[in-house]
Amino acid sequence: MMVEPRWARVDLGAKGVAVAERDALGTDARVAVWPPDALPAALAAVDAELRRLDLQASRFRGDSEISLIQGSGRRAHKVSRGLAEALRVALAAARWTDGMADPTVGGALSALGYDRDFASIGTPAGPLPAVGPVPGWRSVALDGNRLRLPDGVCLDLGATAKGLGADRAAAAARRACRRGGVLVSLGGDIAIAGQPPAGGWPVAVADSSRAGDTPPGQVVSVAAGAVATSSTVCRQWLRGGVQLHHIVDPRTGYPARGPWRTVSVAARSCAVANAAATAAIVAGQDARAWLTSTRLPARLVNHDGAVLLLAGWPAADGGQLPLARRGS
Amino acid sequence: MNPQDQSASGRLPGAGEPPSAGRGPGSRDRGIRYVRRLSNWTAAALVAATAVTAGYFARTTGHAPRPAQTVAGAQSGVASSRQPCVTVPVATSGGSGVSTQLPVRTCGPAGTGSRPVVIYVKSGERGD
Repeated sequence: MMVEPRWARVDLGAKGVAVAERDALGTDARVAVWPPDALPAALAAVDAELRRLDLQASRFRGDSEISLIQGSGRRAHKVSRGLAEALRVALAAARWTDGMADPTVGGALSALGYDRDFASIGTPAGPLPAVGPVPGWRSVALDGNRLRLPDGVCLDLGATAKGLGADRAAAAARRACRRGGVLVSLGGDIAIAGQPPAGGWPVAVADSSRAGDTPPGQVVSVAAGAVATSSTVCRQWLRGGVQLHHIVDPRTGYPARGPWRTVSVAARSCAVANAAATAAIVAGQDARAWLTSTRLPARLVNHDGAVLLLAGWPAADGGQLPLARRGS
Repeated sequence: MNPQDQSASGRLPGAGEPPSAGRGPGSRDRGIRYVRRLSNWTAAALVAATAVTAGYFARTTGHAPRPAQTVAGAQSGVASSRQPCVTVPVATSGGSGVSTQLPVRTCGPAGTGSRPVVIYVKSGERGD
């Protein structure tokens, strides 16, 4: 049985809210609620959702549903409602992003060395393997809860699962609290539910979700919906003397090499924001045009640190994110 | 409809109240029919008034500023005077996990003009 990390209260010196954090899903999770006495109920609800998502979609748990499917040697599978939803979201994101956020990158990631929880990767031995384009999301068929997965297709729902998990957890926590508001961050993918504090939830936007890992970029106020960030700066490792990161370009099977190191996107749902941020990193030079077409507020940081703001993302510290027009 | 009409001439005799002089069984039946007719009108008026009120709220809601949008499954409430005011960031939206790179120097303004450009170099394998 896996031991679940315990929540630790975070004292931000802010009155009227309670904040707690713990490791989860191979990254950090943070929950903020008001009124503060709703925290235990919120954490219990978030725990339940995280446990569920981990058991459904984790590529790094041998007993997860998706791992059992991958290891079954069969092509046709009947999946749980929860995994069906996660797969449906991943495939919809792939379609929406024209394949830039593709759930069939799992094989490429494993070949590159990201085949276990990131904390255990170390420095994989051997030269950089030849990978090539991923099988592509169109090779995966999902009809209700019936999944058909061709041989050799390895799924990784990383472009949407954390966002979906944040959406689920925030909604569940809000239902458990019955009042006030909730913010849930899973590795920097943030969903809010209920009534935000006056003026919104202040959220820092940076290269890494772990405060202190990287310098702060900006503080924005989130009054509704979600914000998610993808970055090539996080989750890097060496293979054959080459520095790699976890955002794979489905067209090459190698880590994306575009001009953007970090992209943050606001949307009505965190799954959409998550997918858009990842797709923008992959899109590289085309990210600006693609994001503009979505009309989602976005903040892009290039490798030199220069920042590009789109669709009303506030320039000033403390500015409020506009409500995204799509992504509900 | 005047409510006083009902109380003045259509009121049923109370329990134990003697019938008025000059009122026989025929006049009592007429009174009952009259009251029933008035009751029906009252009910119809109430239904109509409720519909108008509901329609008013519907129109008002349509023109009112939208409450905060929330993620699916959550409730959005009206502004509450108990809402806290939070000024410090409660979370950081960033790439997940721990960076393996550390800033080594800062120089000049960034694209927004408010933040330093940070040049990163790899600081060694530090997977997390």
